[in-house]
Amino acid sequence: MKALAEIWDFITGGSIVAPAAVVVAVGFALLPLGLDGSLKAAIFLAIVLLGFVGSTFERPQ
Amino acid sequence: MNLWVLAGTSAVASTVEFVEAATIVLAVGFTQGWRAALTGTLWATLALGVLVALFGPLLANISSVHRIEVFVGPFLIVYGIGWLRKAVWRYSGRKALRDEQANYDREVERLRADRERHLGFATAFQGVFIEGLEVAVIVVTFSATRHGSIAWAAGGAAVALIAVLIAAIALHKPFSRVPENALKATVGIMLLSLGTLWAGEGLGLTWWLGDSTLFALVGLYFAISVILVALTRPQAARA
Repeated sequence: MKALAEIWDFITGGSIVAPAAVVVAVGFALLPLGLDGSLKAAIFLAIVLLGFVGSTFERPQ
Repeated sequence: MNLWVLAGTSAVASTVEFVEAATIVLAVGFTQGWRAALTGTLWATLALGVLVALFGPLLANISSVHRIEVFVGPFLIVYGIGWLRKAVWRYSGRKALRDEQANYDREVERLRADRERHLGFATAFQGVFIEGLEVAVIVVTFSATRHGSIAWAAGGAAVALIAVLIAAIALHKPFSRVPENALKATVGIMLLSLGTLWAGEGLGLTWWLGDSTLFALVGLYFAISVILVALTRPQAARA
């Protein structure tokens, strides 16, 4: 658990702005892909979940 | 379409939007203060009035709402994650509950709260603005189906607004007795769910259950939060 927290802190710099930016960037990157709309929604939801779950492993400020 | 049916349909459709806006305003009011919540609501109402007065007929084009959702959605996601993870930390014991904090922590909280009040204003403003815009789209779209029916469609929306306002005022007292962390967790889940739904809609994604996906998202984020509280609990507390 501690290692996870350290990896997350290293990637995001301890800010939730970075994962939020990733969510938006991934969302926009999905747009031109020729995937089914539902599949795109599933990928988008997975990215948001990853951002939320990852941010809870940060050290509380 | 019969004028009464038109007004009733407009009222039902508008109720959903007003409930979403009221949820956000209540959430901001309870956690960030009523000043931020009500000034955000007031400014959003004024901005909406100006927008509808200037561009009313153009609102029938629903894509304009989706373009706004793409900006509001990510904002709500960030805000929702911020609140929900704090609630998870507190429930898991990784962060002290507010009333147990030391002086230093209280000062840090005060400074942070100052920043959050601005975020609270922005959240209330955006929530009311986008939902109000959706109501305007509903009224304009419904009234387009029959000449001279805009007063009926607008009347239906007005009845919905009054009903939601009465419900919000009635719920004000019971809500104020809910423990703060539970409230923050609920608000975080609601904002994160709405943000996910709106951002997805704005990006043109297809949600499997349409607008009802919101309820599925609420359940999903709740379940994951419960799991996270158990997972992130320090080992000493688990033993």
